[in-house]
Amino acid sequence: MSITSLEFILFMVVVLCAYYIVPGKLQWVVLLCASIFFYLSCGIKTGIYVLTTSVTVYGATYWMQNISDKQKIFLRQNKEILSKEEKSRIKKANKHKRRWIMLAVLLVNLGFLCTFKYLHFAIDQINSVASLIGAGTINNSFSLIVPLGISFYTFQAVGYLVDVYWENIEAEKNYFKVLLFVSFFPQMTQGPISQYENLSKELFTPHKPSYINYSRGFQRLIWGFFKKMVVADFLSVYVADVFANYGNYSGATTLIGAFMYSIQIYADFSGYMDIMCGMCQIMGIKLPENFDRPYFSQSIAEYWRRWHISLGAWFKRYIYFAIGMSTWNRSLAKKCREKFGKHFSDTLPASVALVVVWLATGIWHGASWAYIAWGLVNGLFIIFSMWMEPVYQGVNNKLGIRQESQIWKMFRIARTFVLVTFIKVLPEVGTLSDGIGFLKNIFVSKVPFHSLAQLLPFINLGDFETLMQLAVAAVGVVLMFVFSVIQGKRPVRDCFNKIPMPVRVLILVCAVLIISIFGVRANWGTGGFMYANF
Amino acid sequence: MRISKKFILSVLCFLLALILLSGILLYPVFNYELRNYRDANLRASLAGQIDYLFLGASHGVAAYQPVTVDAQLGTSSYNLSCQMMDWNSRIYMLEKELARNPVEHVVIEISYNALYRDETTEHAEGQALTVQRMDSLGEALRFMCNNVSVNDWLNIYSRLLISGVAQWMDLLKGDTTKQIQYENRGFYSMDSNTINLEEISGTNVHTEYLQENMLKLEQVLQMCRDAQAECSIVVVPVSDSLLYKSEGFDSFYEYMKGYCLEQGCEFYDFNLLRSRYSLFSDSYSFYDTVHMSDQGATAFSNAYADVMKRVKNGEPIDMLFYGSYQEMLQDSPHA
Repeated sequence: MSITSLEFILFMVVVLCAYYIVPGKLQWVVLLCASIFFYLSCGIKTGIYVLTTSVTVYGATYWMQNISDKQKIFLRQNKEILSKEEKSRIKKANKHKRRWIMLAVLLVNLGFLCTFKYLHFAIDQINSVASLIGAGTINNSFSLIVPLGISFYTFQAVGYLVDVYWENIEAEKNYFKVLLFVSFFPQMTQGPISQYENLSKELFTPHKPSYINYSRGFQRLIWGFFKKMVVADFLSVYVADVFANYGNYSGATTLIGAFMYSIQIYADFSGYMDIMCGMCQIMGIKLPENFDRPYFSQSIAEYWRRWHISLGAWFKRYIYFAIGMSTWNRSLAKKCREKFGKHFSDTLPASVALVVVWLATGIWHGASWAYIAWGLVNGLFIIFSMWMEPVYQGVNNKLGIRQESQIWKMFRIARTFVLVTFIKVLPEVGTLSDGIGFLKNIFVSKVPFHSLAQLLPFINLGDFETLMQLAVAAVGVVLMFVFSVIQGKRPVRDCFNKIPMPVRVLILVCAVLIISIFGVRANWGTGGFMYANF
Repeated sequence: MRISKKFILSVLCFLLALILLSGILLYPVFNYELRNYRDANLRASLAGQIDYLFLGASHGVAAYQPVTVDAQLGTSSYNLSCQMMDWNSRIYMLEKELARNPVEHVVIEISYNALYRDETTEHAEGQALTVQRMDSLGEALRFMCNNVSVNDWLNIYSRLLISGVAQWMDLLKGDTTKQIQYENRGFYSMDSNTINLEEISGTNVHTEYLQENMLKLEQVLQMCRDAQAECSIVVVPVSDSLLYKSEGFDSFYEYMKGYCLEQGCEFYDFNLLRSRYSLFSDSYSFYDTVHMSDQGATAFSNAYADVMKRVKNGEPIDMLFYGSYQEMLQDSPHA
């Protein structure tokens, strides 16, 4: 079921009506039924993997919680009898048991993820090596149907599993609540990846109807559809053209294509988030935000704190801190302090953790060397900035640059946007060498341009309908920019809700008509949401 | 209770405003005849008079001239074709005209890709045009409910809005030149362009068929039998250049011959007309590689009428056609 189809809109209406008709304590059951229906409508066979994830995670967390509870009761009852060493031994043994349970289930679920996403890539690499040494190759022509949203729900489930292992939260006793948490349909295909302790409060608390929620949720929904269908889908056709034929285009055209891609992916991904967050807001459910005006970031590190926030938070919580705070990493840092000084030793644990995080992030995004390179480039930029921080500060002080000045901030924002764009296109053009070739073409292309038509050869400027569509998409991009600027000072929807109701309704109706005219048309040439491929 | 009233009021306002603005945008679509396929009034005015129907998609609408054919055959024909006409639309429109006209003969055009088109990928383009050919909004809604999948309703709405905006712009400019010409009886005249062999890259035709389309064709043939109307299947000519660069026509031709023999209807492939190289030229007979120009349509319509006259008189017509595409291409000017 495509999110931008009438089918999904009707599905949403039915779910929303059912949600508010049933008693509050059964609302989560409606969400569960809707999630199961949504998932099965996309393919019954792949539903088995979601079920397996939910069953294994539920079973593991139930078991681990059981061990913890029994330990607590036993230690409480035998507080006087047991020595300190005996208590420590019991705790250690139980922790060991719980760790094995967690690892086993992690292996199963990450195993599914790796198999579906990376098996073909792994076989390709093995075959490349085998060809080099003259050995036989493995047949790689079989096809695997990748379960919808596997990257997202697996991470969400794994996060819950680890939180229960760490005893940050208690395991949920009701299997169906765990199933809902894993399969909650607004998050299934593109996130945001939530933590159980936060999302469970939203999902399992009864919600009463609220005009503000309806109104603001609907506004956000419309804005999401506008971004996705009018802006992202329109740009996608031209971006694909530039990516496929960059060798025939001038450097300026290639650069424009890269910037268009940056806008496209933001409009696509954040548009999806707005649709889902808007729908959830109508139900009174607050999903975590995934974007915070990322293109206004002043550094790559800041950008990744503002882009796909939930993924970054997941990696930070479950990988970065685990590695950064690990004993071996801290002792390595201690040893390095003596040789290389305080600054290096302070940043070393973080650097090691960042390399692992960004390698994993790159792999998560795609099974190719291009994505691995993309991840490592991002990581290296962040590490380099961290190391060079004292040097930059020194240079800025010497040059008398005021960090707070608007001009300096705008320079950093523009610089970060360009850098992020260049890094972003690396894996999107095709292979790694295609990505490098694309970036090279920006600077070394000898294809000239002398007119607007030559600058934008992939757009038929002579066609009136295309020009209209381009104009509307351009207005959409300007609106996105303006709203982002306003959002930096105060919430845009607060400003919007100050407008009288009849005018607001008229604006929303016009938005719906614009989406129907330009957005649906642009949607015909596309293949769905971009991050759904992950 | 206050919240509910506010919610209901805002929902009602929203829906009312949406319906009102949509209505304004769609007004010219259902009230003006600014496009050739907006022929509901024309067909209604001819009800009871039509005895010869030509039913196809864009190749048909650009190729068959009722006036030219009627002058030779003494018939009262109508070109029911429309751009992108899908099979559900063909069935619906044919059923309607069969019910109100003394139709004696139905010609079904299946030029090169009619039986291969997968309508699920066309985003209801054909259905959107058919909706605009309905007599009333009520009929349009009934057509949509019965013939268009739910997923495509949004596509139809979008296409109608686009059509509405375009037609408002025509009205505001005072441009009424697109008004259909009643004397053309459904035929759509297109300009001539030169088709260059060098500009055609590879095969862009489909000479295969989808089973669901064959079932729809069978349904059309059955409707003709039930209405006691003779039926023939026709392929209208495409450009020499396209035929020269494409493959697969012969196997498709053999398949259709066999199919028509089974179904008991006649099959005429006008690509194989022996006089095609003198009648049609890539310099002036085509608008593009597959659609005939006005000049080409006149030549085709005359040729078609000539063949039908001979058939009616019991004269043999086999010598008028090549036996195969392979044979035909040997005489091609590009050979």
